[in-house]
Amino acid sequence: MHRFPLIIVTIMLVLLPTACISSDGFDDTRRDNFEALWHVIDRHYCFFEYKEQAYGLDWDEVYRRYSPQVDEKMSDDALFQVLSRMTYELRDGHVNLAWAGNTAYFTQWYDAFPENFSDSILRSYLGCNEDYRSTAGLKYRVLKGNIGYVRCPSFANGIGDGNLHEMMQYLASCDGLVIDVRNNGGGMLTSAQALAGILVNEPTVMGYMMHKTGPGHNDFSSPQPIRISPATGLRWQKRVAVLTNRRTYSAANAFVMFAKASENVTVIGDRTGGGSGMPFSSELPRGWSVRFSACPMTDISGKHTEFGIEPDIHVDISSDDYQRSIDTILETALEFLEGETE
Amino acid sequence: MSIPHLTILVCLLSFLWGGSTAYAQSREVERTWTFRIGDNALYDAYLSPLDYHGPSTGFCMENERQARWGKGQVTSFARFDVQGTWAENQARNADFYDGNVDFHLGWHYNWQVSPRWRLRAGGLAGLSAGGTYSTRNGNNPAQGRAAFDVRASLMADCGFHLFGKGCSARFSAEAPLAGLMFSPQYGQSYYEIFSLRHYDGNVRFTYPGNVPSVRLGARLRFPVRKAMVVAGYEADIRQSRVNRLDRHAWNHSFIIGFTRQLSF
Repeated sequence: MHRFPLIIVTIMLVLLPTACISSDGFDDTRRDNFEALWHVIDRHYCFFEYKEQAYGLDWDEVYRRYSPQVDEKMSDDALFQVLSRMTYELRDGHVNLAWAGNTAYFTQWYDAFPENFSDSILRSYLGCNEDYRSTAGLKYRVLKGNIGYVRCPSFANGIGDGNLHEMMQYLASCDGLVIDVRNNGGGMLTSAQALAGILVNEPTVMGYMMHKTGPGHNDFSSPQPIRISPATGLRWQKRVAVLTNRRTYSAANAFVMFAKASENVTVIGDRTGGGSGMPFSSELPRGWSVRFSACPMTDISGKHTEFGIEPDIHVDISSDDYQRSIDTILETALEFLEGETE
Repeated sequence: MSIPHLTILVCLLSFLWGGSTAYAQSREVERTWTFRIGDNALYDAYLSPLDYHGPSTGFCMENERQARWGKGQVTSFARFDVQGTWAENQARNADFYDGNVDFHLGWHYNWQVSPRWRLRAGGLAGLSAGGTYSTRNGNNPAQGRAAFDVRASLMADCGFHLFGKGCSARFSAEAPLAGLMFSPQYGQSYYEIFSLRHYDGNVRFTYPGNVPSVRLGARLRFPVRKAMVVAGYEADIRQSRVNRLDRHAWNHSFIIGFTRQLSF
């Protein structure tokens, strides 16, 4: 018989797959749902080493403590409670478990602290719709002392260079700028980058980002620089006060991290809530959704901001000021900027 | 290998393939169109730890002709293939939408081993692109795929008569031998790759150890009135373990179509 086809057949028989690439094969049992959740976090969560140092987190010990609580006879509600409590051990607002009936959030990163923000008090500064301008989810106007004020409640909207240019043009004659990201729970990192672009005049490294390269707790890439590109229109050159509270989280925390790298910026208010890991999604055999921090970001000095960024000037809104409809944090920022410009 | 280099390689292969047939002794091209319907089992560890299952469909066009070189023993082969899958998780509350486009071309050496049996053996090279989109996920909603590979190809054709009509059967097998493939790192976001331009081993060399895949087919060709109908079965088993990310797409389909002899 001819040799060449035999050679090809031999090559193919040798090289044909001898092993299938398969999933872990988790079934929809109470036990397997627990195992799937523990393993998803174990392989993909990005803050194990940091949190072991911060408060002694031991994910294997968490397994030993929670595994006996899982029983095949337990209800969906009971299983959800056990799995939720297990995720709270990570102390991470980006770790969530959700099913049709409920969503588990770890909220102590803001629940245990004063809110330092009031919508109704802020309305007395912003006014009604005719008193301020609005673009790309940003509200802005000029406040007393000729200080520009930009309220950014979320980074869920895209922010374009055109939006920023128009805003900067309107506020160009102001002596200082307040950017208020209190109660901003995050959104798109690209929007946080875009807003930070008004603070730089050339591509500037303002943080670092890593990703996992394997399932081990310490399998990470080297930190890669996050370069903020300058906005293509008008950019801000004078002093800036960024207002923060415990609910400044995720992409808003990243914005504060970028802004703090700029010399012109002073952060005023309370410590941010943190949330410096970009979350990924996964799921359990029961169809329940899981979210977890997957890609950590650090500030320009390589320090994690997962548990928040300290302000340069710490201010709380006192209960008296709440009664008098005074936003102490905003007032402090206005006085600071007025003092800086004198 | 960069995209411009890949483009030049494909153009060169196409020129060699087309050039080889420019002065073919026989100017006949056998062109086969087939439609595919079947079932696909999907697993993509970047998107979910679970298996997804669902119907798939596709379309394929193949060209075969005698090559200019090889003293009539060599035939050139080209295949363009499109397929799509809609799959659900076992809880039926999340979907994967998966699609692929492939283009391969190459040559087979032919042996008429008996009056009925002809064996063809050779190689193909080509490009594959596609992606999987998850309706559930947030910052990792999709996985993109792009690859170049060189693969071994084997075919066996058997001619026979059925109810006095000339028919044939073909059995085929292909397996990738070497190539290049795009993949994010184990936990790398597409934001890092495309917004921040953080590249980290995202184009990897592939070999049977990390892309153990095979494409098997069995088809019958028989005349129906004036048409030559093709019907059969195809298994397209695609697997990869690159950057510690596992993926499989186990596609089993029934194919039906027709083939024509075209003269140029």
